[in-house]
Amino acid sequence: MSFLRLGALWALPLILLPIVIHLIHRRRHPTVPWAAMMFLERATRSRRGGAKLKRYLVLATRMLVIAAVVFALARPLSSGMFSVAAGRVVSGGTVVVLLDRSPSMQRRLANGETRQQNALSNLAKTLQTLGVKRCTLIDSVSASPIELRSVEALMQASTVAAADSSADLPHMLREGLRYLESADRSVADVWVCSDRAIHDWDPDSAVWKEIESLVRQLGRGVRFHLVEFPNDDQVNASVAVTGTRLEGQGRGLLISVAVQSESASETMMPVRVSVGGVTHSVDVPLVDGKAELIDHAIEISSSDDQVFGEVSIEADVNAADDQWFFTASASQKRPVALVTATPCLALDVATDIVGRLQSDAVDATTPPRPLVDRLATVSSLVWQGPLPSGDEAAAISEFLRRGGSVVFFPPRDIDDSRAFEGVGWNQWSRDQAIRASFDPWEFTLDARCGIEGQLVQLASTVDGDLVAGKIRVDAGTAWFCGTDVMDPDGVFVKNGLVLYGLLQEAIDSSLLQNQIQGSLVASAESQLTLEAEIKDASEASLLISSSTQNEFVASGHQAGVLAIKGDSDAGPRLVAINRSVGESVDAKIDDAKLVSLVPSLSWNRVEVGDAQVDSNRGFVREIWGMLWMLVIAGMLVEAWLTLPAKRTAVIRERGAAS
Amino acid sequence: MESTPETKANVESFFDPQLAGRLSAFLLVARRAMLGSVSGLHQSPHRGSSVEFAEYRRYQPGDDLRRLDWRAYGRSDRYYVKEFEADTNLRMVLVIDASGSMAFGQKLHVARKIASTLAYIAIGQGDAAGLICSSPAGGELLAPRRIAGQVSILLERLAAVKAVGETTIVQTLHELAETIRERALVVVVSDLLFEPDELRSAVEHLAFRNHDVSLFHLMDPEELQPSWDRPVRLADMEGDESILVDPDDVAASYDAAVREFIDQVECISRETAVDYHRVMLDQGIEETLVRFLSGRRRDQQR
Repeated sequence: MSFLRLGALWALPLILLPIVIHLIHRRRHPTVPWAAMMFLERATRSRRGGAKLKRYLVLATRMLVIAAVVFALARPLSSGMFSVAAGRVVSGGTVVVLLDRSPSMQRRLANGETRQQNALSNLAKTLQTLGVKRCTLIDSVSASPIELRSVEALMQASTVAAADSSADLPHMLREGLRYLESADRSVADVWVCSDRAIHDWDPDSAVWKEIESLVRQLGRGVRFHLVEFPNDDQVNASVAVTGTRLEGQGRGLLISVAVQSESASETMMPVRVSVGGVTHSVDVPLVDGKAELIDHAIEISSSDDQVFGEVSIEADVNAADDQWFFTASASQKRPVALVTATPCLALDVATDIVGRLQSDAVDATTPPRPLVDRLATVSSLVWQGPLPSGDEAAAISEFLRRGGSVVFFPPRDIDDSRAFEGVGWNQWSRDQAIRASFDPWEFTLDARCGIEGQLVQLASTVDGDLVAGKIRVDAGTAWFCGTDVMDPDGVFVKNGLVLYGLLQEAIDSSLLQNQIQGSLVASAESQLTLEAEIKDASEASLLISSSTQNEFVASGHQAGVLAIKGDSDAGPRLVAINRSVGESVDAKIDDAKLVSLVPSLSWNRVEVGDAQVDSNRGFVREIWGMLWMLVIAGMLVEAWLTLPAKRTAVIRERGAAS
Repeated sequence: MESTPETKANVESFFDPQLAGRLSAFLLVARRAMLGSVSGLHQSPHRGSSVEFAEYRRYQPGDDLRRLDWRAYGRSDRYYVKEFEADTNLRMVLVIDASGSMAFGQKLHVARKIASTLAYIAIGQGDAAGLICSSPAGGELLAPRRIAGQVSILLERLAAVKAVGETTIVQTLHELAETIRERALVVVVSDLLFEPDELRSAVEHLAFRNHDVSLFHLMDPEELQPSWDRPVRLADMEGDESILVDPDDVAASYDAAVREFIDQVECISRETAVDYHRVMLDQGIEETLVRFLSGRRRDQQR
């Protein structure tokens, strides 16, 4: 419990007043000689315990009443989690609000408000209740401190507006702490309005160490309040375009769409594809809440080299992830990184044909840092050699998590103790040639390496042995092909067709390809990129397709399709901006992880309960009214306890009668 | 013994000759046969020569031939001796509780009044009256006598008694039961502020010795319904103990304790055939004594 008028608590010793009066009263009792002690002893023998208890109850009630009066005068605040911070906030501490405006914060609560709107309105109400006049806002779009003149400004349109970019909570928190440090504010309250989405909190960020250091420097004067949202049983679904290309000189659009639902019981999801002013509807079957539509062909009438459009699903609890904007142009090769432990001419050639091979192919022994760098600029990776481990494995896992595709081929010497994502190689089998199939092709293998692990089967021998398979790793896909690509004279290499087909499918499935094909993930980096491009543009850029067209959201942070006119005579360049795929992943950072991020930081969890959802009355409220009721109740109880006991006149009457 | 003016004044404060004179009209009678030393108004356990026929008894050699009933012989052809009740005088011992609690209110004063009036009536009708004042100092028994000066002696004893110390009346009654000759009237005047079980044993002891026990139970109205309106510290009049009492706390249980005590005393009185009279101090004693005297008369006639 916290108090708005802490000074009134100095009157708390007054609760001892009833005891003092009681003791004084005891000393003032007159002494009277008494004969019938026997009756008294009998009376007090049976009543001593009860009378003493009653007396103590009366004293306790009186003390309670005085305490209630004192507490009521101190203007108490009620909140389950707010603790003593409120009192200190009122005493002049700085208030910094970190606001997550990412798509996951647009999930709607029971009252129809988004998490962002509800957190803001409750926070504004709370700060008003606490008497806070002004605060500093760091939102996920600007990611820099904005000093607001009044708490009411928290509710202004520019703050409430939703963004499609992810929040970088470590960065925002660091900015907030730096702001406090620069302003030399040792007493402050930092309010974090975020839904703890892992994608936004980025627990692997190196910034957390810096935050730890800043928290230690600022000391215990800074308290951190984390607004938490209740888990609801509403079902959210999201859609993302995983690939687009124009075929047949712009006459057909091939589009790949990934749909994800929180409900595993849903079996069909209608998906609408709007392109060129025409909307096509496709029912996508869901398996375990997931579905993937690969290279769905849509006829378009436009003859332009590039088209744009949007894919959407029915509006649900979070409308921010129900749309995906795309652009499409004639097929372009996607950049692919090739890593081989043994020179593989076949892979060099095949990769360069189906994709755009990054020039200097690195060796498997290359230190991990260059590999990380290379993976940042490609959409797929082809890996031949021992399965990655250590930093390599971490870099590739991160690449997969971002939506990339990785194709693994076995090395010459198999180390069957190695595994990646639960999949490992078995020893080579070169005894005899065997037929295998990879839909729609059939081919012959003279060397085969078994695959150990749980995979989705893509190719198998006539005996049913697995030849190629894939697994999903977060948003990406890892492909494992147990064929010999090292021997240039091998049957599989000479055939070539299956190798091309496999690599084509793997490279096409990468979600990262859109970034390379005129697509951007809504973020601060995209904002910088676009601003630079728009600055150099001959004409004003135009947001030609957007869900909201919110003027308060900076370009680069709002989903849509932007047309940028360059200096050339060619038409404007179309850029599709979408939320990060990670925003669709409903993963929250758990308590243990939250604590481990900054061990010296103690979070005060402020839960958005039913009351906050229903009435937006803030996280705290004054409860003096309840205390006055307690005072009245206490006085009534005290009066009842001190009622004189009934006396009987029976004895006297009987004495007179006998 | 020469009485001092102070003693005289004391005696006059509690002895009301007019009341005693009025009550003399009632005879103080024994409820059962008494053993006196001389002939008197009261029934004796022995056969005697009063005019009251008692029974026929077979003649035995040695009987006085003058007492043979010849008419009975004529009717039955057997010898019968006609016997008559014997009358004797009454020996009354007044036992006054002189413990500290008797100093509360007018208890001792009323006790003196009752004792002096009864002694006056008894001696006036030719019976013997004695007195013992029970106190820790050990009151001396004034043996029952029927001489004319006994009243004065008894009154002076009463005037000299002081209520101090713890109650010893139970012990006194036990001693009395063993000391005085059988079949006496024992009149106890006390506030009975001790355990009723002790009272039971004492009166049963007296009854076992064929004494006729009368009990005047003195009660002050203040004791029944205390007038405390605020917490008070009550000091024991028979000891050093004191108790802090909040009237609100103990009112109900105090009432219950008093009721329980009175019920117990009345029960003991009924079961031991004690002639019990509760005397409220705010009421005159004349009514109580009239009820006492007339009640005894009624019991005797049954």
